[in-house]
Amino acid sequence: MKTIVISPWARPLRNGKENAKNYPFWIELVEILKSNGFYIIQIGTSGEKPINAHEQKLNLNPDELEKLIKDSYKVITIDSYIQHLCWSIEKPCITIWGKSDPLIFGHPENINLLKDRRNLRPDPWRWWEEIPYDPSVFVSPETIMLSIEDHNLDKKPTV
Amino acid sequence: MKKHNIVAYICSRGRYDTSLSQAMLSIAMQTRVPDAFILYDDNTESERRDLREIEIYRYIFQLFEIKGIKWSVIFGGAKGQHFGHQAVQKTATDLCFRLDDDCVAESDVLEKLELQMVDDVGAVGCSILTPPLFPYKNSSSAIDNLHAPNEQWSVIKETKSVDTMHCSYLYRANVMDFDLRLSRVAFREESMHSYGIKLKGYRVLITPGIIWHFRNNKNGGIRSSESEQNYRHDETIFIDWLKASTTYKDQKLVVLDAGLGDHLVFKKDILPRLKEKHKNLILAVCHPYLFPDEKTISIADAQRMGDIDKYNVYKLGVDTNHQGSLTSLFEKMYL
Repeated sequence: MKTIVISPWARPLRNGKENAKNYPFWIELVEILKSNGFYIIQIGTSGEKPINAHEQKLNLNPDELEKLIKDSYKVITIDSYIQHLCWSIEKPCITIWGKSDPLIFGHPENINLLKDRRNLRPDPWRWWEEIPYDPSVFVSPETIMLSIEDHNLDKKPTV
Repeated sequence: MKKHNIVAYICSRGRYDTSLSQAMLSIAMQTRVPDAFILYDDNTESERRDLREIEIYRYIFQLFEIKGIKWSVIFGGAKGQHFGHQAVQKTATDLCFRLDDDCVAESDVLEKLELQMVDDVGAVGCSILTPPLFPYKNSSSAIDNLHAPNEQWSVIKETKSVDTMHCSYLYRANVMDFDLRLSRVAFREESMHSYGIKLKGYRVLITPGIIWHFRNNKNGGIRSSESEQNYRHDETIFIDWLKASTTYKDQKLVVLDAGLGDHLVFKKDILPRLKEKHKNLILAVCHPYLFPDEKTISIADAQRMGDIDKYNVYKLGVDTNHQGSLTSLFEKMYL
């Protein structure tokens, strides 16, 4: 069974609000992935919301994390350090974007899924605490599923 | 044609009615008139006055205009003179001449100081004398002997290289930032600034010339109403800064007080090129395990070396309205 590693959540904000980077449809996406025969591993830190994955691997050390990512079939993440890590170890991942700009913070080697550039926050360098959460800015689980099926590493990524 | 562009300035508080006008007048009377004059008015809003409505100041401003000195006033927030020095030097493109608001410069001072300001000189000062003259013994301007009487408190007979400047001096703008971590009293600010210039490879000089310092601690002053606690706070910052600056002298500092992702981008996209430019790199980082082959220190250690806000790439992005990638923002900062 092919393993997909998911890093679903951004670092909690200091003001306790929902981080606008967080993808709202993980449960639905995981159901679709499971029904397509994938084994899902959620990574992150303890205390983070579960996404109904087959397994959670939390608080991994850097070496464990790198090995897990390298051994996986695909990695799906939001705009967090995992997308930078995948890029740095040359394991392209699928990154889900909403209000942050993949042309600024992303890497063309990854598959960058952005619904609409009109949703991007106007000032990309400011704190996320100032950005309201809006689930409508993200692509659908079906779009992500399609990108997995199309995820051929020789292809040019799509933004 | 003038060799330099000189901005003369005074940081002032509580001295509208005592020595400020004399200090300003002595700037207007220089044989080498400065190109611009800035008054950094650090009075609180309630203390603040419009000097254009006071006759003596109106005359002085007119005098500036007659002599071709562009004058302006910056209002501070009573946060201390170091904020004033920093604000003024950011407006300058070449040299700054700082004069305390209870000082009167002899008319040839700026001319004499400028004469010494050759390419490898970063700051130059002269005698700062308070009557009655006192024959100080064992005077020093050494950074490790700041409790001794300052060499500038005596009549300087010849030009010589020193570690630090005192009170009022001419300096090369934007070589060294003023440390904004200091309290409002800004104790040791000129020692840190001038020695910082020296650490950047410039000579710091004293030379013959006289600025009279009519100390008037009872009436106003940029350091008035300050508690002993602030002096202790600033002395602690100074000692930590001195230790760190001396230890890491001649090393290029990188500060990554940011997320893990930013560390990874820096490591892969920036570090290899930066190492080609700088042999002695020191990285202040949150995640040292990412840089096993580099010399790393903690963010706390970097903070002891000075204000690290200038290394905040996200602040740079905001301040410069950066439109490119994170990598290009790092390039803007370090390459």
